[in-house]
Formats: sequence, C-alpha cells, structure tokens
Amino acid sequence: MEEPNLLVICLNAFAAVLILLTILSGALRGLIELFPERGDPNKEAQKFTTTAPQPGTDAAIAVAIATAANAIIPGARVTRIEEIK
Amino acid sequence: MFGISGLLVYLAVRKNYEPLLLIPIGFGAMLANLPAAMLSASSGYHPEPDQTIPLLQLIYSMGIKTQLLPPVIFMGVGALTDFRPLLSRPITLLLGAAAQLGIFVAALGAFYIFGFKAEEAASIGIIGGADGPTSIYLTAILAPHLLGAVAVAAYSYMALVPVIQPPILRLLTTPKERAINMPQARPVSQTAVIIFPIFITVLTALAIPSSAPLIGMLMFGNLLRESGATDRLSKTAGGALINIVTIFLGLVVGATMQGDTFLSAQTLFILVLGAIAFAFSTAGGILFAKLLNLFLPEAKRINPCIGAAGVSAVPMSARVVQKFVSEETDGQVNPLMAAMGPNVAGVIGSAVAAGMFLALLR
Repeated sequence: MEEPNLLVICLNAFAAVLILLTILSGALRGLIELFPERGDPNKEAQKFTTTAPQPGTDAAIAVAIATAANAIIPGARVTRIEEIK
Repeated sequence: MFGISGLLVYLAVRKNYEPLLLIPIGFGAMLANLPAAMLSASSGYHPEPDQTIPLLQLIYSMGIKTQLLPPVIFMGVGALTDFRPLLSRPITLLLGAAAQLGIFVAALGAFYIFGFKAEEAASIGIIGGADGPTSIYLTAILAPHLLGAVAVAAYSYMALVPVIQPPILRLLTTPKERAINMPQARPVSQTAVIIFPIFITVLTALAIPSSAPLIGMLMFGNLLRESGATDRLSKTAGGALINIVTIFLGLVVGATMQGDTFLSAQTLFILVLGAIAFAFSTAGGILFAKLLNLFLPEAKRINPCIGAAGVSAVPMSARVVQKFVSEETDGQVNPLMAAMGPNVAGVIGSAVAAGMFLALLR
C-alpha cells in the first residue's frame, strides 16, 4: 500500500485545528455577548490588584486571597499574607 | 524491564512525577514481564476457543481496544475543569491551537527522519499535545504496538513541564514582554457557562466528527459540573470514576510494555521525539501570542508567556507560567488566571488534532 503524504496531512491537520479553534473563539465571543453577566455594575469597575506572593506562599492562594479581598473592599491591595498556625 | 518498572515507580514516589499514572504503569510493566504469569496485554492477542483470557488482556480488550477508557477519563477531566478563564478570554483558544505545533513537527520528524510509518508518526507526535488520555486514545487506534512507549513518554514529559518550559520561555520572550500585565478578564454569566459545553460539542463534532468521542465526553463532564443540578454525577465523574479508570488504564498500558518489544531503539527515538514535540508546542504557543500582539492594541496585548500554557498539561503548565513570570517581574505580574485560558484550550486543541489524524489516517 502506498505510504500517505504525511507533510500534506500535517499541514491540513494543523490548519484545521487553527481554523476550527478560531471559529470557536469567535463563536464564544458571541456567546458571552449574548449572555452577559448581569452583576453589580460597581463590581465591573473594581480594579483587581495583587502584589508579590511572599516566599513560601503559593501564587494561586495569593491570587485567590486578593480576589476575595477585592470583592469585599474594591481597590484593596494585599501586601502581606501570613499563616498563623 | 524490571529496572524500567522500578525507575517509573521511583520517579512517581520520590520525585512525584505523575504518580497517579506512573505507579500503575510501572507496576503493570513489572507484571507483564513476570515469566509465566500471563499478565501482559497486546493488541495482537487472539484467544483460542475455550481459552481463559488473562486478566490484564481482558481489561485491554474491553477498555483500550474498544476505545472506552480514554473518553471516560475525559469525562472526569471535564467534570474537574473550570472553563471560565477560557470563556472570559476567547482569544486564548488560538493559543491552545498554536501550541499543538509540536505534534506536527514531531510527527514529521518521526516520519521523515526516523522512518516510522505515518500512523506511528502521528501517534508519536501527539505526545506534543501533553495530554495523556488523548495520546493513549490515538495510539491505541493507529499504532497499538507503541502504546507503552508513547504513554510513558507523554506522562514523563508532562511531569517534566517545570523543567522543559522555563528555558524556552526565557529564550523566546523579552523582559518587557514578560512584564505585560493583562487586565482582569470580564466576568462570565452562568448561562454562558452552561451553554458552552453544548455549543463546543455540536460545533466540533460537526466540523471534525472523529474528535467527537473525546470532546463530547469532556464537555459532558463539564456540563455535569456547571449545570448545578447534577452534583452527585459530577462528583462521581471527577472523583471515583476517573480514579477507577485511571487505575485500569495505567495498569493495562504498563502491561503492554513487554521487554522484547519495549527495549528497542524505537522507544529511545520516541522519547527523543516526545521532548522535541513538547519544546515545539511550547514555542508555538509563545510565538503565536507574540504574533497576535502585533495586531492587538497596546491595552489589549497578551503576555506571550501564557502561550506556553497552551500545551494541555492542566494545570501544571499554567502554574509554571505563573511562577516564571512572577519571579521574572518580582511578583508584579501574576498571570495565573490568564494562563488557565490557553491551558484548558490546549485540551480541546489536542483532542481536535487527534481527531484530524484519525480522519486523515484511519
């Protein structure tokens, strides 16, 4: 049996992945425009700020704490995270 | 083979390299090579009439040959994955697509340089998707004799993401690019989150039907999670069920690693090509983000480092990007949530790439 031309297959496959995901990206943009979040308008304007996680602090935890703090006190800046055992 | 089996278990236990998979794979490889134990599994097994099918061969025949287990894992992954970071920044889907570059580069290398057949080359290339279940799914169909080597390479390199990606990130980005602080993404409504899995399944299955088993199950799991009405099913899919299937999948993949076929130059080539695939996938995501920045207004520019998270090792590559950028900017820039967008997009991208290979090569 003749060996398929893998170069053409790979080019087609990569192009298909790029094109399909580009279309999905556009479609998702339409989806979130069609069904926007109807939350507190002040919430939209809240500025998300966080600072450097200290050594030993997981970055994900630092971001989560900063997000929670901002939800309660808009514009708040977390400068220090201390674990009390 | 006992040495390799021991090495896999050692890496899993001592180095914490993908232990959930490498321990079952390592133990399965040991079982497969015990003389007269009849615990190996292979795609070429044909039982005689009235012959009892060996245990792991039975699981292989029922779970891998039928393509049952990898999509079930995908359902669990869907139940565990939050797609909001992707929904809030749909453009990051493009990074998830570009980060599949390594799949095709490695496949071409395997075919034209190392002389693998096209089906084998595609199975090796898919390692670059950094998605274990997708690699197993595609290889079990196109080149089942390479299953053990491909799975070991895929999971080993996924565990090595923190080692592989930072040098590439440093090489391909400038300090100024690393310091791009992306604004907070817009919030996403619950309605959009619920419609998302249905939407993606229908569009993807219509465009590339061969990717439907993976994408369909991934999105079904996600619908269970997000609907808010199926908490028990979501917990089962993302908990007990995915754990059970992971045990079977790992053991059976290990059981395919028989010494006479695994200990060959081919396996070494696969490991080399896997590393190349990972490196090119990481580079593809970063370079595509830089390309996008040429067309985006200053305020909407993307930190190109998040492109590296387009390989679908979730959430490890997003964490690697976060750690790298945070360290490089003295903690001023923390792109963890932004990097989760391309990270989960990579899961979709690699499943679509596998679907394309199936459509064009099967």
